[in-house]
Amino acid sequence: MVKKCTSSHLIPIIFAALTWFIIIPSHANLLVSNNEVKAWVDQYVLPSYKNLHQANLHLQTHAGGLCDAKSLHQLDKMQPHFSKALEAMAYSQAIDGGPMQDELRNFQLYFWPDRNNLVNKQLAKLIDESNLQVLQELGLEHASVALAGYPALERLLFEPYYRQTVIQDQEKFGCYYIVTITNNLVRITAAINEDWSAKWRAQLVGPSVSNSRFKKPADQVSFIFSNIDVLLTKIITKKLAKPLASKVTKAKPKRLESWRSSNSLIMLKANARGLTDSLNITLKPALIRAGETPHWHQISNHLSLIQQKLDQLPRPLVTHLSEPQHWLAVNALQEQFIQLQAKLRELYPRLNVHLGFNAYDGD
Amino acid sequence: MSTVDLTLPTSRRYFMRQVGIGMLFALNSCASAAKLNNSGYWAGTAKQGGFYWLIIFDAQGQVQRQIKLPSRGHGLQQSTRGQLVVCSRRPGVWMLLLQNPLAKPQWLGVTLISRLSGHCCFSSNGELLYSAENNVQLAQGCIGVWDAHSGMRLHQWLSQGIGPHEIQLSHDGTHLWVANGGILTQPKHGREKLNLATMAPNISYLRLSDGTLTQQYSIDESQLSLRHIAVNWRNQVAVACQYQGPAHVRKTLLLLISGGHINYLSCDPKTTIGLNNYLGSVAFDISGEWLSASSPRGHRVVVWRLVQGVEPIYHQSLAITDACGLSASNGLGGFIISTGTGQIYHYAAITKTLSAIETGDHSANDFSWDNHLLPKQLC
Repeated sequence: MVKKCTSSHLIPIIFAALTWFIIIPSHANLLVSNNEVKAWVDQYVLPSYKNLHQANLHLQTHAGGLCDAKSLHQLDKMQPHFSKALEAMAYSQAIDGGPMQDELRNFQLYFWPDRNNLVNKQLAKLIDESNLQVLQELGLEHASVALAGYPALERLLFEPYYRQTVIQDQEKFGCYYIVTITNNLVRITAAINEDWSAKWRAQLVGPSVSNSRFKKPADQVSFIFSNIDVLLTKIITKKLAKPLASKVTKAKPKRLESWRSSNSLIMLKANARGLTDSLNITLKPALIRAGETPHWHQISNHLSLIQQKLDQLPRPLVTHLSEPQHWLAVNALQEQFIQLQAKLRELYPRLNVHLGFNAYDGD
Repeated sequence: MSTVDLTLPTSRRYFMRQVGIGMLFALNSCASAAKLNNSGYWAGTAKQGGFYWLIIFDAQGQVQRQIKLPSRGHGLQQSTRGQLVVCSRRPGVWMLLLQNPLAKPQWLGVTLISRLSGHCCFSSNGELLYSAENNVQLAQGCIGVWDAHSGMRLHQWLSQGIGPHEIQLSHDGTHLWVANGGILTQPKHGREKLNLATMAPNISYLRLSDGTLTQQYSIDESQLSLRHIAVNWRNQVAVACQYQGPAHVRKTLLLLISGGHINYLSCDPKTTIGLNNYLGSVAFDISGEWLSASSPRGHRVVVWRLVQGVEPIYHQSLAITDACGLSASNGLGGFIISTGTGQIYHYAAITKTLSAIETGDHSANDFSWDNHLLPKQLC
């Protein structure tokens, strides 16, 4: 026998449905899951730091014999390995938090931007004084961060003045300093890898109140997307806005990063790959699961356009940025990054992502 | 009656959700009123759904009232009579005054010449209200003096420095501690820092009867902006700083004024680096012997103990994402910690136990809690 469905029966159902509709957040199913957090760590973070460490090991290996047969040719042979290391670092920049920040490793590896030209000042002083303390074990750990990483090494490998200084120095201070920098780079990236494997991975994928870093799932996803947002901000405001300036006649090509080694564009491309891979691993499945595929298509479209624009730019960017058509192209590239960031920020509240409310904009 | 200011709906779901929250508050209002009248309350400001709110909790941590703010708020203070004031973030133009947690909001405005800098406090009897301000014409800090009942502005004094930020009453209520952060800003330049090379921060001690400067403390680190302060019953002042120098240089950020001297409270180098040159808030516990400071940029809270009120000993560092709001809880060595990611925690320093506080309101996790919390123990 079928019961009649009366209006009095319907009232509790309607009430329950309304209550569910009201209470449950509209975006409850839009959360990035723990599987995606794990995938991000295992498929992006750990491999990117492993590659960076490998690149530094290669650099170290090629620096090893430098002092026995120092020559411009030997310095030339190190250059591609230096560029590979910078590229690997740029790819890893979608994760700049965590172990990278401990002990100021981010500054030690890559002191950029260098608003006060500290690297040039410190390097000139160091070479002039041949300060042997820097060459001691952990000497660079206690020296200025401007002397500890890639920017100083870039000058020694690519700037004619420093190249000649390294080759002509009978005391071999310059070449031993190059070896010391490569040792320091290896030490830093080994520590970053070790910290991720030993502590950070487990902490990031297992939030709980007893977890000493990540208490709630909201902390996990905020960590991931804050890192992504930090990179986007860095690209927009530092890597592109400063060299572009307000118009082509005011362009400042030497505000591009790593312009001395012509790696500016290579690093931007690696940044874009890091962003693309991170978003593919984390955001794409969450949006598709939530039935929000059109949003992913928009983001994917931004990423494709960024890639296209990067591919169309000439190398080295430092020699072309002041040309009107290329300035406009870089300006358009910046606009694409801005639009991507805006689109992501539009989605963050729905992902329960809080982009460091006080961390970004406290008082 | 609890209040929710509904905003224009941006979407059907958002509208329904806001209506739903409003219905829940309305259903709860009678019980809420009784709770808030009979026991204490505490409060914080937060961002939610693109808007800024004052959120008032009952003593059990349940959200009881929320009031929409015209813009982002910053500091909160409660008087001994139960009045509550919220100050807008710098460069601010409004203060929200409630004579009690259920009272009708009184909105106090400042002139365009004197912009609020984020903090205010009551006199010990709750008759007067003091606000930290930047006088645009003088390029000097000022303290606005207000009638805490009518909301009428009475007069003003110089803060004895540039960029006053947090102000707090002395232990006996006769003086005002002023953290002159040293950073010059002008409304036409927004929040841009205009004098980083010539900063001269100080902590000034003003006599409340006439605003006279009776003592002033400064440090040799001119780019260490002295911004937030907490005062205990011994009139010791904890000072939380923000370093304005190069990011790769890390400084000790917590200071203590005690016995007429100002001293640095140094942590181990790793913790100092981890604080990222930025402390957002500082608080004493109810005994005045435990001290905590938050670093949202370092995602950390550091805790110190002043043994017998004299010797400061570093106690613990907690890693908490975007932690900033801090206040004393009711227990000895207890602190409430709020985060920009919507979490609220209780930390018991004696047992070194951190526990999450559930606010009861499903939507509370959507709040991005702002810089400061109202001390719970004053309720």
